[in-house]
Amino acid sequence: MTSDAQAPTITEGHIATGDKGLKADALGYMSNLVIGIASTAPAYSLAATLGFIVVIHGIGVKAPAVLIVSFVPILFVSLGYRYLNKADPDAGTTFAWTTRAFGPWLGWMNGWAIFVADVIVMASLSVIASQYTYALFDWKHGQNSATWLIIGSVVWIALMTWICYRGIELSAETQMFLLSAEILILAAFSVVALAKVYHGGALPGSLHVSASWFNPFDLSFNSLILGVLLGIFIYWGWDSGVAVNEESRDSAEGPGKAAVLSTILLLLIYLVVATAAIAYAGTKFLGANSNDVLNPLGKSVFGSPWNKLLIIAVLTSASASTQTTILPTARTTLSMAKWGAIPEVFGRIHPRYLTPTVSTIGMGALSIVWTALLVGFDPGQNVLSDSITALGFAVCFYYGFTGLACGWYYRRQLFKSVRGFVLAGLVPVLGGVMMGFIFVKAWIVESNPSYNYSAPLFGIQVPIVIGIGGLLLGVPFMLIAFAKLRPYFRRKTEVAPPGLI
Amino acid sequence: VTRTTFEVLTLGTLVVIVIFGLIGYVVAKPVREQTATIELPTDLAGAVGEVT
Repeated sequence: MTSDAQAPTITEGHIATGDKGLKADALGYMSNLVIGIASTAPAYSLAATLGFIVVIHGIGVKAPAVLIVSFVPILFVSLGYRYLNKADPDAGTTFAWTTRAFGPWLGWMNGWAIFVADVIVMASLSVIASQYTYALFDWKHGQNSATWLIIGSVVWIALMTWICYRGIELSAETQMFLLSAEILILAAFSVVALAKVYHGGALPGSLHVSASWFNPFDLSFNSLILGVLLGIFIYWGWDSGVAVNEESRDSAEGPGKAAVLSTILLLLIYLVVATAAIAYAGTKFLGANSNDVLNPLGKSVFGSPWNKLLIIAVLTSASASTQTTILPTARTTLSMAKWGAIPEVFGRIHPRYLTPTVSTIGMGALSIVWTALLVGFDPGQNVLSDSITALGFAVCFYYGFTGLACGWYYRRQLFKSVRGFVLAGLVPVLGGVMMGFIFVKAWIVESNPSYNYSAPLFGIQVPIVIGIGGLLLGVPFMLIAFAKLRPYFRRKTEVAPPGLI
Repeated sequence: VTRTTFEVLTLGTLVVIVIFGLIGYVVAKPVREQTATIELPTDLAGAVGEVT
């Protein structure tokens, strides 16, 4: 373990490795940025969320304002990532940092929260990738058959697991290709849609863009909060770019900066595409197609056969995110194993590819089992839909603790400069508090049956069973780890070394 | 990205958010001050009966 700003580099033959055995200096700043953006799956996130934001009572055309408000806690927490990574570029990210700041128990639970969130989302991502693969070939039977959806999902997860296993460079190159295609198509969509709004050809409900769409202050607080509950999770995933810090050049600076920049770029992407979609089609159309706004929009904006472009955008988005979800999970469990928080078998590294072996394959296998169970036992996909809401609990949990950990870890240096106080203290802690508020608010909202798809289990709403239950499931595992792995649980808390901010 | 570029981007975004928030707050004041008068039915018991 190191608290130095830069992970140590050990040269084995001609290949340099970090202290965990991962391939050092394999990724540049651009790869960190690409992995961060691709992991959030912008096209898929917009396709699946924009319609639901628009239909919230009182929001409508003001969805861009909701996206701006949702961005604020994300930006604040990303600054926490940036400063914590500067002090400790550990692939375990939040796990390692909260262990240092708050001790082993909270550290362990935060590692578990990352794992839970990533496993939960894998089912949805792989099913979407599978559905859109079939949609690309107009195969309706495949899109509606549980068996074929499971088969497609298993193939996608297996393929992406293999890429992650095969090496970090191949992973980064795949991401570069997939994200480029996705962004180019979204840009083309936005330009063509806005051109049609102002030069004719848009749908009957089309509207000219207004500055008031971006102002959240004339929304009712309740409407805004309901929108933010949805909006905040379309930004989730940018932290994957930080999880590959030990494989990055300038590991203490590059990944942290890329995390902050990726959130800003995501905001721009979301604002441009959401504004174009609302202006082109109006709110009624988006509300009527809230399950997937991009596919029907693509048919209208591009016409046949170019409408396939948006299917390709969502397909590349979901498949890229499937891969970038495996990457950070494998690195978190790798780090937990190297810290002695879970069995050391999860810390095994491939001697040639220098990637986590058991952690990567284990994540892929678990995702396949989870997806098959979820789709197999509930072909109507109600539980799958609720699982997306559920993962918000784990995300708020570990994002929130990261923000708080930053302020606490740097507490002895915060009052030495205004800049340090604001950027490494006040702002990340505010982000953490906001995440805590959203966690509680989400719990209250999700307790209302009208917001969920499935019938409650034992009287508890399904998103709460999966989200909170998933987090609580970590407690018995942590107690087993405590019984077997005492040295980790005897760790003392630490403070940031001086001179970093 | 150099440290200067990064700091400008980060602090710039924070400043834009604050300015944007202040302007938005002022511009939206008339909307927030609008109130709607909703008349309650005089015969509440009858209204409840109709609903049920």
